[in-house]
Amino acid sequence: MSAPATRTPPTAEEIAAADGRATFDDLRPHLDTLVARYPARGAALLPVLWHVQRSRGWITPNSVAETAAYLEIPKAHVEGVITFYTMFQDAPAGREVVMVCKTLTCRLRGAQDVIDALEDHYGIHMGDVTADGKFKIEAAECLGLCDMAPCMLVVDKARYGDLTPESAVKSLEERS
Amino acid sequence: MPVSKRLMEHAPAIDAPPQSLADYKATGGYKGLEKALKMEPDAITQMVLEAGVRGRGGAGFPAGRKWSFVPKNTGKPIYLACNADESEPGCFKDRQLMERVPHLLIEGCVMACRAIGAQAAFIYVRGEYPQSIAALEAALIEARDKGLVGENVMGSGWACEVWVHQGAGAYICGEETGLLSSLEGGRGYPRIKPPFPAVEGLWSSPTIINNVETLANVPVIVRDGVEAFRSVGDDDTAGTRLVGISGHVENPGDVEINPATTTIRELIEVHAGGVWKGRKLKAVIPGGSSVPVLPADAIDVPFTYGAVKEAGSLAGAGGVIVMDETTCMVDALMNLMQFYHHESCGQCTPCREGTGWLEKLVTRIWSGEGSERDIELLDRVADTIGGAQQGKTICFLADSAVMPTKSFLKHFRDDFVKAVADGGSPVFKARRDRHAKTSTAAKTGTAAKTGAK
Amino acid sequence: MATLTIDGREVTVEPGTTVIEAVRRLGADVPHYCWHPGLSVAGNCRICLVEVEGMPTVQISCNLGVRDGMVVHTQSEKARQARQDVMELLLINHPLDCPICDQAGECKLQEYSFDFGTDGSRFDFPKVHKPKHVRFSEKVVFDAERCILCTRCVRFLDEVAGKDELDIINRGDRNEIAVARGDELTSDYQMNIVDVCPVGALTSTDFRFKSRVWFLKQTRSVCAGCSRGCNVTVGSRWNRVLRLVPAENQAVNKWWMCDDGRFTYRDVGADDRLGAPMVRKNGRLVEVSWDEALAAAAEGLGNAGKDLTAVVSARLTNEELHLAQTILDHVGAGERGYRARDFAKDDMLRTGDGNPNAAGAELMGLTPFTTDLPGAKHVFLCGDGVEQNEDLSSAAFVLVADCRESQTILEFATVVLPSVTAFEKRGSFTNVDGRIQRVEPSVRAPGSALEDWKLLGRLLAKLTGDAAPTSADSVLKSMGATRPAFEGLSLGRLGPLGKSTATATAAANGEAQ
Repeated sequence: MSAPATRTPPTAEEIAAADGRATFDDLRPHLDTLVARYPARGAALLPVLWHVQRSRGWITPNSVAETAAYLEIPKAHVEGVITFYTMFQDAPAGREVVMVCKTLTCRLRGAQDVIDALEDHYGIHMGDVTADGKFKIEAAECLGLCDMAPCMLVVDKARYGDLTPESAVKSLEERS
Repeated sequence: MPVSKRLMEHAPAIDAPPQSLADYKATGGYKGLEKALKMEPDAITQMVLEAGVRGRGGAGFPAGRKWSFVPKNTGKPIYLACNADESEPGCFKDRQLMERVPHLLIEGCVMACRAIGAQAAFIYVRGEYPQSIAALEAALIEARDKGLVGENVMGSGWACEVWVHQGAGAYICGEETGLLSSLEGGRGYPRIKPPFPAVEGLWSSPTIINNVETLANVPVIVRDGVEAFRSVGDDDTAGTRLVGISGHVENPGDVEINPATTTIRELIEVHAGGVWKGRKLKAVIPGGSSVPVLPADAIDVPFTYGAVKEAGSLAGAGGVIVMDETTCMVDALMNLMQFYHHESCGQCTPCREGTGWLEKLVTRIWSGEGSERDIELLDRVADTIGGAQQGKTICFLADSAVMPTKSFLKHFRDDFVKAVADGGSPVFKARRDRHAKTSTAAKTGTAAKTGAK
Repeated sequence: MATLTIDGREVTVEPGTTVIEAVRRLGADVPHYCWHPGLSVAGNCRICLVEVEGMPTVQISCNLGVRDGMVVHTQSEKARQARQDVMELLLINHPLDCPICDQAGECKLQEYSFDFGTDGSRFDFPKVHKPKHVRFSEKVVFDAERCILCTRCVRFLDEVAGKDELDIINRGDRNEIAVARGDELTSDYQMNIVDVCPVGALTSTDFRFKSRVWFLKQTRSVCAGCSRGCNVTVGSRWNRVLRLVPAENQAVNKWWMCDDGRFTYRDVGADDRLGAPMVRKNGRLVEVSWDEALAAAAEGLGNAGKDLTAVVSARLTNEELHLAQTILDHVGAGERGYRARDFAKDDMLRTGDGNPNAAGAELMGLTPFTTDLPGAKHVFLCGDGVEQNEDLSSAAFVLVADCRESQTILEFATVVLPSVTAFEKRGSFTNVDGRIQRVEPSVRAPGSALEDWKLLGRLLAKLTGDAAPTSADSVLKSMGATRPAFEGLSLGRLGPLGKSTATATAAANGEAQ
């Protein structure tokens, strides 16, 4: 494996900015509807974390504590879940998260060239946030879009297939 | 060779909006449910049992038998979990089904609930499928609005809720008990058995877990009858199969076939336009990345569970990955080992420790630093890990790393020997030459990163 | 009932029993890391594999229910090979830092490697690195590289201690046990996770680096921290107590004990321990011989008669309390009682009664002491920790038998008899449920301090002219004559697990136990 992306811990400003986008009380009405679907409060953890992440951009330390208190589950458990799933972000993750598939079908059809092109274009390594803060770009395991390999997913928003190095860069640039 | 369309018979084109409720109903949609509501629940199970539909998620267990394991009168609620965590590399058929004919799945879920005595179904969709989730959520709004899902299903007085639950990026949640752990809000850890989920699943209550395609067959079975259902396929694999074909083919995509009359070769040559760029075929992984690879001369077999097994692999979850003559099998195996290492949940010792060891060994061979001993060791470490087939792990993830390793070495050992003799995989050497200045970056290919976690 | 055959031996067990439990019923064992009899079954370490006839694969014996007629092989080639495979995998990323690991000597990785591991590893890559010396709290430190992720610690805190403060973070071979960011363990039972950890991942900050465990003298005894009487193994070396760990006793503490109990040893080596008898002469306490001190004590007690006010420690053993009562009866002391002592109570083991032997005191007819000491003319403070810095300036005679120096002793004592702690004597305690359990000495008391039974026995001899008892056991054997709860008992008969007073009584009456 390549070396993990080196990242400094979130700054106090970054945390405050994320928390400032929505108070937990703002989120509560929607969260209550999620909790109501399950026979146990804790089962709503993944949906709740998704909503928190969409509202705040990433799951801040305060979000962990607030989620744990809201669902009446231990904080350690919330952190265990966040770090188990690759799509939960526990640090600032740009305005959009881009997952570039690297698994077999995509690799057979040129995913490595797509990844190289994106790294070169943005001057980053996979897993980093671009300098302009627009994207966090990650190499991802199979996205289930093998019929459109090589492919990438802008989380929650769009997917792009049959990529070439040029089309991948262009697609992201056009999102700006 | 005819295309056998049944589940996808009236599916809108790819990239067109999902089939609406009106369009679905116009082509016989919710007729199965209407019929089922007039039947005894056990009679529905009996039909599914007689139809012989086997699990389309990979394991191939007969769905009707699974349903019959739900204990009666425990006093506990019963749940249905639909496994839409389609994460097996090479598989995308469930995504197509959800995004094109979402009502078919919803109808299947409600009918399955009726049969097993459940009043709630959770469709666990992988986090990377937001479009599938959107299609299902929109269809559920329509279905609730028309009384097809909710407190009074089709005026029968019977209540059934269907919820969509979004995963967040973990292959292991496609393992049925890993899915349950995740659905309960936990890390996606597969569970030791006993207890079996049909007895103690979600929230310690009886739970049935079925794949998307499996459940989509239920409305068809009940609506058209067992005879009609079994008119396609054979005794081993009754009904149609949805198969995705990807990799080195001209037209990657999804097709619904009669498994009894369609061979793997036809899937590639007829449905996917043949191997791309006029090249020759080298290898095929027929059932998703976890199953053993087949050499080019082993693919003239029908796509039934039994026939593919006899050929030395598994039809699995219906994801055919095609590799042309230029493919370096060391590179392909390294990529798969990165995948399984990355996706191991880490619970069981052999899988947690062993998948990484396999990746390290194959990477060493890939990068020209391996020896003949490493090839031998790769094979033996695969045996050491063993997986669930040897009783050494809780679930089959370790086996999913072991089966490719063993079969790649069995059929394509020459590629490994060549990589050792020639200073590495051709893929490695090409990258090294291109990035001569930053050779460290080329050392290992690119592994998926989960960020600084 | 189900009868199964394990390695050629038949065993009959209740349905619902697992194979590993059935194996242990035979006095044998199957290697295990994640399985613990006091915790739920996790089934993740995969080392407890056995072969079962008729089953195609090896099975984890911890989650395999017995069936009638089942034939199990724990030592077959297939089972041994499977375990050896798991063993190799457990060690590939393990640091193998045994020379500096505190667990060395009581590490299950070492034990099973020795039993069936191979002499080398086929793994020749750099190991996965993880955080080391992570502070979980002031009591517990964690080494993620040594951890085998068996989750015993996670399950203990969740299932037994009711504080699910630990979980696993990350995934796969990056998995780590972790406390929530910014938090520390708060459970009063958290040190049990050090005990249940089968490897050197969790260590006690209090004990680590003090001694290699194989140099410890291990003494089975009873915790004197409260009236639960948790069974403990005292580890000592250089005549110093270095740690207490719980010893299994299903009738008392199962496998556990509280953290405070573990620290009760700290007073043993205190600087202010009394090592010589003293008598006040011309206003100053001076060291004297035991004979002189006991004579002065006997004289003072004799003079006091019914005016004697006596406070007895319920940290004394049953035998000592019996001797103390006999002395007080002989003297005819008017006011007497034992010193009650509070201790934070919880729903698990801590009883709320800080005396290990209040039940014993009650059996001797003592009740909690309620009278005000200041104002008493003749005072006998008898046993460990009774004095409470009260003003005894109006007392003409103050006899103190205690282990540590105190303001009371320095200012008011007429005669001082140095006694010992629960770690330095033999005898028995009666716990909150009436169970009589054996206390064993693990270290020697300082100077010429005497076990309380010896000291009180000699004092009684001075008063009566009878011979002093020769051992705590002889006191126990003889006291049954006047105290029915102890009839027929001896320290030997108590055995390592003790006996409930009801059982003791029944046994004395010739009934079946």
